[in-house]
Amino acid sequence: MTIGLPWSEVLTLLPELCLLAAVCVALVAPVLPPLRATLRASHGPLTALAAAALIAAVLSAIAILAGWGGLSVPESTVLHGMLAVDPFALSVKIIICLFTLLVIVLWSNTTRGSVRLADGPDYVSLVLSGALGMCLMASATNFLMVFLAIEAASFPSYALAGFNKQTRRSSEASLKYVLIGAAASALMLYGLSMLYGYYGTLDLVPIAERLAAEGMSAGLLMGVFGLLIGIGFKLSAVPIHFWCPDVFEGASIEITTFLSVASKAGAIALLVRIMMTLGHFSAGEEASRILVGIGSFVGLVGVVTATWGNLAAYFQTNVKRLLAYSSIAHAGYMIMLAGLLTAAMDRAQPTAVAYALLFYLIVYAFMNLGAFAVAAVVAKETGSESLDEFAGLGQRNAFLAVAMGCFLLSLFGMPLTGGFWGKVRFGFEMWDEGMWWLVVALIVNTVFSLYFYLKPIIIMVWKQPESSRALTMAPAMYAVVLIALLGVFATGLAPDRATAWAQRHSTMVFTMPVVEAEAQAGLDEVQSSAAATGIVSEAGR
Amino acid sequence: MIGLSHFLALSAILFGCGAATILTKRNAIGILMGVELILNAANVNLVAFNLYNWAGEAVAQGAAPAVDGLMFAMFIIVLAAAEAAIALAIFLNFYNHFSTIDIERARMLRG
Repeated sequence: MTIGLPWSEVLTLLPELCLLAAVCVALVAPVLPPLRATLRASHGPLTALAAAALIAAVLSAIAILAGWGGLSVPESTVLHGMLAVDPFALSVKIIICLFTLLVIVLWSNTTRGSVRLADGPDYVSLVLSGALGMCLMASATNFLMVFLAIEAASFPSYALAGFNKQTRRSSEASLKYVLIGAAASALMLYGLSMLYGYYGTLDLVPIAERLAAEGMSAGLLMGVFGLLIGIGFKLSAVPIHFWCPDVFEGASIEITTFLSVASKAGAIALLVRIMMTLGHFSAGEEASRILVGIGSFVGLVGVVTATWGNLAAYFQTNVKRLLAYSSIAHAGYMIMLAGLLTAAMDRAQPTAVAYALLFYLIVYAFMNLGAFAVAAVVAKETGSESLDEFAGLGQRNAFLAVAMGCFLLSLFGMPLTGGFWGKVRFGFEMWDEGMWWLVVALIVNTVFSLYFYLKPIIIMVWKQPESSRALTMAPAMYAVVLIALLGVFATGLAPDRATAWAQRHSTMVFTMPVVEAEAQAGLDEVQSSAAATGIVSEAGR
Repeated sequence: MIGLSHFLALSAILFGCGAATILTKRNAIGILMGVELILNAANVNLVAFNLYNWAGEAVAQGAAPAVDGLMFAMFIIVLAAAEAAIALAIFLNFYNHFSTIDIERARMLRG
């Protein structure tokens, strides 16, 4: 065994390294006297730094996927089995980083004033390190790494939820967030320690193999239970969802946007990777019965989460809270789909499930970004986050009203929008795996959700506003809303492109057909070269 | 002779105390202490499992003693410290607004 890391492995982590470099710069820059004055003068340089780092991260992830500049997708896990850098992880990273970039744009055009200039570097470094943790969540294949990634995503989120120190709501939100988060991570660790005690390793793949060979164990049950608590907390799954509406309401709106998509994208990617690995190696009768049990349980958690989110959203009067419950419901749909990965694996096509999920994540990122961006503009202009402020938005700013309507209908799953195809695909996958009860739950929940998605639209169109002053917004905000609209309709009217992209990028490290083909090709090459040398040596003789 | 089961019993007791503390305490720092107890239960588990189950097995196979569990425990200790630092900063901020850290008072956000 050689000691040391080859450069090729380190370079596959370029997206994370870009974010890390920017975090270090943001932390060190205010200490250097020549830079301090510039940073105290405006938020501009820091915004530019964050944007540059995120763009660099996205570009390097694309470069690894496309094989530019000598980079390539590694054929196995990197850093001694700690991380998997496969197309699935890289595309989730691209979604997370692009989304964070748009959140930074949103921040710099709406709520930037509430962050003091002296706090700017801390703010930027927290956002970027949160994004770093979420990227690692998408890659982790070792439970130590899972734990580190979840904490690396959580700690900055706690601080960001309470970043606005002047408001009481914000301090209460962060208090609830940190207490529930700490308890969830402690329970997760206890479960993981049992898993280690039983299997003697923390790598996902050997554990999945031993599970397939030996079946049930107490250590496995406690480990899965702990993991579900840890990941369920990040996904705001019932019964550990109650932090989510409070934190979303109390935190500043761009942080809410960030947490609603980027954090959940990382967590669902992690859940899918774990479920898929467990399902992939299962062979024996005994093992598959346990896996069906785990998968059905996860599916059930998803159903309860979605139903709870949709029902509780009925009574909301605060737009951020409404969108928080909506995001709980959407997390529920994604958890339902993740349950499929082990629940029905005789017929399972794990890659199909992974691509349905990737497609959904893209659509979900666009529609949530749009809805929150409109809410941020309205909140900035009216100074209140109540749903009543949307009254007469159609007259005050027709573009915003139409855009908000589209985003809400897409979140509901209206045909012609991306949300429709996302849900249809979920339904088809569930039907294909024979999980009809999940399909029923999906349809019933979609019908439930119509009322509360229509409520803001009705208010916008029919309710008379208190003031008829036109709402104005910065050009950059127009751009953000337009990008979100484009995304929603591009995936809704012509879903083929996004589908093809998601399909191409849904492979994981051990389901990569390419690897086997290449390994076979390599073997053939070795054999033919061996044969050739044999011929040569015979000829020489 | 002290064996693995003694350590597991200790960790189960720690876990029970921690869970009870989290569920009954109304003071934010009290809850944080409960969390730390559970974290230490996990640490005891990891170190004991490493010593009794896995370190010897690796040596028997001619490899260096396995240290995965020890390493995990080290990471938990460091991250628990970081978590406590963030949590205490948040508690202080909460105290500045509410003049208490009783979580029953955290009821502005609900619905």
